[in-house]
Amino acid sequence: MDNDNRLDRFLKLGKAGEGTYGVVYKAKNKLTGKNVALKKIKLQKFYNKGCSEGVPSTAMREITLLKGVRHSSIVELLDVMYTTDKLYLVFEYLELDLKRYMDNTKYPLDEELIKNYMKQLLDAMAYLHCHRILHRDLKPQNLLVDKEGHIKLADFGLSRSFSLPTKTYTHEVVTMWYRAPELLLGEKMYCTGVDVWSLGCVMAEMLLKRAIFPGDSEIDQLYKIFRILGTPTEETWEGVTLSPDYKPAFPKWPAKNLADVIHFNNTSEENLLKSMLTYDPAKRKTAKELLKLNYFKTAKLTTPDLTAFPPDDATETEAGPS
Amino acid sequence: MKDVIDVMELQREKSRRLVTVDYRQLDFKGGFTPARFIFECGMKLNGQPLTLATAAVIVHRFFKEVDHNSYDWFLIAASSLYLASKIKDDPLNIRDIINVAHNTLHRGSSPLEIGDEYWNMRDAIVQAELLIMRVLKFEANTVHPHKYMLHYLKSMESWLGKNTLESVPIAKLSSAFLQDFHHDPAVLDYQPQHIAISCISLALQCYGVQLPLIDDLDDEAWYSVFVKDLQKDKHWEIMEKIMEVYNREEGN
Repeated sequence: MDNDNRLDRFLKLGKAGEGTYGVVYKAKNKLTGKNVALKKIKLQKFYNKGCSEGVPSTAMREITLLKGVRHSSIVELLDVMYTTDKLYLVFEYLELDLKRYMDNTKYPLDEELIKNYMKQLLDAMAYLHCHRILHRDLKPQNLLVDKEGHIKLADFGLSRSFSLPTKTYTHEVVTMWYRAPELLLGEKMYCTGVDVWSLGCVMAEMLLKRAIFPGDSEIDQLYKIFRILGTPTEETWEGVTLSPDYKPAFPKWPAKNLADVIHFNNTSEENLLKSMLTYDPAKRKTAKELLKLNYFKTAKLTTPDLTAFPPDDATETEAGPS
Repeated sequence: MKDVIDVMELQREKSRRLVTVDYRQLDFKGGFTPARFIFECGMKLNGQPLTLATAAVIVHRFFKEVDHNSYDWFLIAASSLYLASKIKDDPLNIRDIINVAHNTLHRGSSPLEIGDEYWNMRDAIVQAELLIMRVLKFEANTVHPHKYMLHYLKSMESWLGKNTLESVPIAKLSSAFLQDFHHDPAVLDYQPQHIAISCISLALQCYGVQLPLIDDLDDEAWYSVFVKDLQKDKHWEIMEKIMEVYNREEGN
């Protein structure tokens, strides 16, 4: 297999992080001067005798799904390049992920910025769900932000197309802190509500500047949720007692008032979060329904805290097939 | 309607004969042979219908771009099946694919020992996977007719009444037609909605089920409720293409 000489178009500017299946580099397109993110997938790792699995399925899903989507709030897959033993995914570049942005900023996130981010994220989610795609791994680390106030969904390594509800989906997928209760209770047939729950956890984190349900095991994760939202019952979630991992012996915590846990800026913000953190997936609002809430009537592009962004001074090296 | 009834007969014949073909003796037949190989292997592996359909579409698209004489059809078919299982999140074990593909090509052979032949085949499948992706420009996701068919059949249930639909296996036969049509690269030439309608239409005609006309207008076909842009001649063309699949198989 020939080396893809399109790789020579890029100058490597340094390591940007680790992806689901390889290193991510910041690079510059020499022709356009634009920055890109290069996700490098080493193939020899998969071609050695004993573990020759080919292109990892996470990469395969990310490529095939992103090739078919185009939305302003979904990170764009610009190109796929290959050498004998490596695959490179070329993405548009955004400076920071939401986790690092929140860590870097001294102040609580501005309410207009939260509204702006939530509008964009729900827009992207509604688009994905309309195209029968579940993201399944929404968390602040997978949401990329720029200095203009845009936020984009990224890392589709765990996403999947869904169409006919004929098979069991993998239920150990979403990072635990953002995992929907139906998954934690062992439900194997799930749908778009798992992404809505995850986004609710992200919104809570933007308001709190820390994770709302930081569990360290599946059971601890459930208990963290129960302590705040109350232990679910047939009254609050019809059919919950039939879930595979539901235990009648679960401690019975009463629901707290969410406003006692989170300082909300207004009631419409509180209503949005409550709608997303609804136990019963059948009653949990869809992204499309959430976008119709009054809360979003005044949403507009809002500039984030620019001091949270790193200075642009990375050193340049040839990207080449390293 | 003689042609349509013949399709039913062909299906009955097929289930009576249960022919085990020697794939190595078959011609390419415009992609029919590797697709048939995919479906046989895929069923043995308990692959999901959408996974097998995706694999068949990948094979047809691949051979549309390249000269089929330059590649081992069965290697490309096995690799497409492996690729489709990743895309559709329906993990098929590569070792199982190798053993089933080997056994389907060499009837009666025992599973491959972990030796040079096994490793060569494994490496070939894995390398072919990337080759296929490159040829398809990494665009391997497909909009399948299956979801449309499910939606149309569900809607028809309330239209015709559950009893009518349960008394004749319309859904089962429609699905069989749809799966069989994936043996033919012609499946790439039509919109998924149109294919779904044509498969249902063929099944309805096989069982002589009459659907009420829309507003009693003779020229308004029943399917105009679902799709507005399917012309009658296009509809018949797709149904004929589906029937041709069975004639192709007869030629083996």
